[in-house]
Amino acid sequence: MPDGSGLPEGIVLSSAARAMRRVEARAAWGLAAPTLVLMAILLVLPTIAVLLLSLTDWELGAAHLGFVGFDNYVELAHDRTFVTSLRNTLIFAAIVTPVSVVLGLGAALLIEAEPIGKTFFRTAYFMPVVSLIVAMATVWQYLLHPTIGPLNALLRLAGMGGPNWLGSSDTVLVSLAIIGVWQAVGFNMVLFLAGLTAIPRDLYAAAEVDGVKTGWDRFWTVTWPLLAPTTLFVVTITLIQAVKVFETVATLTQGGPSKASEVLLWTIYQEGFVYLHVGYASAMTIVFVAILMVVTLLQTRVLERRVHY
Amino acid sequence: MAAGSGLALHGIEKNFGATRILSGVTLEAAQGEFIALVGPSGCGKTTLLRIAAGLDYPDQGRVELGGRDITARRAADRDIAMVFQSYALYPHLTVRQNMALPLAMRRLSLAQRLPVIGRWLPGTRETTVGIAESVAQAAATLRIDQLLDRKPGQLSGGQRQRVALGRALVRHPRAFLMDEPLSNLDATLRVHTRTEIVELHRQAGVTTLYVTHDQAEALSMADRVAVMMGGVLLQVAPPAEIYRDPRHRLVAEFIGSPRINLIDAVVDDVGSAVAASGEHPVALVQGLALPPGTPVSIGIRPEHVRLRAPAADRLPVTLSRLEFLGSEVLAHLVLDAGRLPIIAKLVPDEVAGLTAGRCFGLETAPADRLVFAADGQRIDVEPVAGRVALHA
Repeated sequence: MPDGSGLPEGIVLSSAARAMRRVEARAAWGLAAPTLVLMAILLVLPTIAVLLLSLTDWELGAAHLGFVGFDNYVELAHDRTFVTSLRNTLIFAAIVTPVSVVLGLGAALLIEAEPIGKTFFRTAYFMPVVSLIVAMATVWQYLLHPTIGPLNALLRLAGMGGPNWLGSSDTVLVSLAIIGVWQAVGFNMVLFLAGLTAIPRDLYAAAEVDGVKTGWDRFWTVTWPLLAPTTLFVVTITLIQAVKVFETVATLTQGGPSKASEVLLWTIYQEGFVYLHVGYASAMTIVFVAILMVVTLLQTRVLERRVHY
Repeated sequence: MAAGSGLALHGIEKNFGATRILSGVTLEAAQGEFIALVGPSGCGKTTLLRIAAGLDYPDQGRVELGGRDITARRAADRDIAMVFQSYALYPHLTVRQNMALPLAMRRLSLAQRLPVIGRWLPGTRETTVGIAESVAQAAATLRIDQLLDRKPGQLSGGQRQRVALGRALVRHPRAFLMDEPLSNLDATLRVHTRTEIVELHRQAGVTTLYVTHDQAEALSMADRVAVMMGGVLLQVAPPAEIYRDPRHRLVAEFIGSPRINLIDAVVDDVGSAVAASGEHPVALVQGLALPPGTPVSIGIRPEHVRLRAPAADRLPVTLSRLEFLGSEVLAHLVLDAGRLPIIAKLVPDEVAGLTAGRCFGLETAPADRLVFAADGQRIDVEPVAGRVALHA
């Protein structure tokens, strides 16, 4: 009985039951409708619009709109700025994600282990998350300033010449990554703290009775495996946040020097809002969204199966 | 039963802040003995168990295992295994790995336990093979061989309970501690597993301290039952003795189901405990060496209550309800004086034709009347020859 009723073959419903099902189905659609409409307007349609725009040569304000097929994408592959931007973004994410996850976990473990000052440290580490990064960028600019910055002053005291952190193409990406880590650690720490409190105390007691003596063994026997779902979530969130880096680049370096800190969102912003190449920027956006989709899919499909017990 | 060869707790005191949890608890389990520690929730029994395990440390007192003082030793260094109420299995490890973990932690060095590298270190192979054999053996004993490659999440409650037992059994510890291991099982499985644990204990002969709040569990499983209330051990005795001869009113009340009947009485001029009963007070117990006017309570087990025709020397009661339980019938009665509920456990033949609202005289053999002082302590009554008769 392939009628979409979801019933096994051979089961025939009475007419009253069929009518009841129809009424229920109508009510269900009616209740879901507001959300479906909003999702279509706010999520699905804009994505389709961007996808369609990426196949055109439209410029903001232009009266003419020409369909160019996959020309934009072909151009992207040969666009050195875009390739640099893509590479820089991945390097940035490759530094920020592991470092901030490890530091966040470390901070959470230390705070959890120590009964004194829990609230203070939790608040202190969480500050960067709630502070406005555009405002804090000026502080970082001062800290990393080659001549008057305290960081280089410290290095000079130790007899070392500090680099021009944000001004040199060799160090600018690392400097931005340091700021990125500073921003992400607090959030990761809070997530890990929540994950830690969810681990049953009995497991630690059982491990102790089973002969698990050192903190090292305790971590690998109980804490790390039971934190796995949290860790997976934290890694995904951090990765997505890192790929979306924009504010620090916009306020501190504008992609420079010589495109050494050119990142995806900055490049898209430049193309779309400065040069008004909307079609081209849309193609970049599609690539950007594709990267995020891959990260998310990786989380839900591949890893979740191995992490949840 | 050499003294000091089993598990011994001496004068254990424990406070959490200003709250006293344990006050001077002394409990000695002989080598191979099965002791059930029973009491209502919050009485400190789990704390005592955790102190025995080394998961908590006493403020005062000593823990001994096999005659050696282990008070200062941490749990990992005590040769004691524990089964937790929640089972506390590692959810990410298979049953096999769960059971092997306590052995791996003890027999393999830190380096040998490292992934990949550890496998190639000298001795790892031999030790790992030995561990696998021990696990297989324990799994066979518990009949969980077919579950070894599953994870705890794929097991039923009863199976998890077995794995938890297996993890404790596998390393042949000197003592087993069990914290309400059956409380998460359904009623049928609980009764079944009771027998299995007793059987397992008989085979392994390991000293066992078993915490439960279920007096039936304690009575049916243990060699000796230790009753704990408010952080104090009230009595430690074999099940039959603790039931027949409770040394404290709280023990009498806690052990036995339905609960023991307690009737208030006052000692009169000739040393008889007299229960108020309308115009004719009834003397329940004689020969008490207590000053006149001392309040006491008389405990009578439900199965010792007999219903007879009303008489001057029998406490008058009224039948309010019969509860049929198959092999026995519970008669819910009300003591006419004081409206005190009394329960009698009768055989079905005895209740034929009884109807609610009928009045009876309550009768018991004098030896079945337990006397408790106002502070709860039991008062022994010597049966006086010739005066044991029912009449006052």
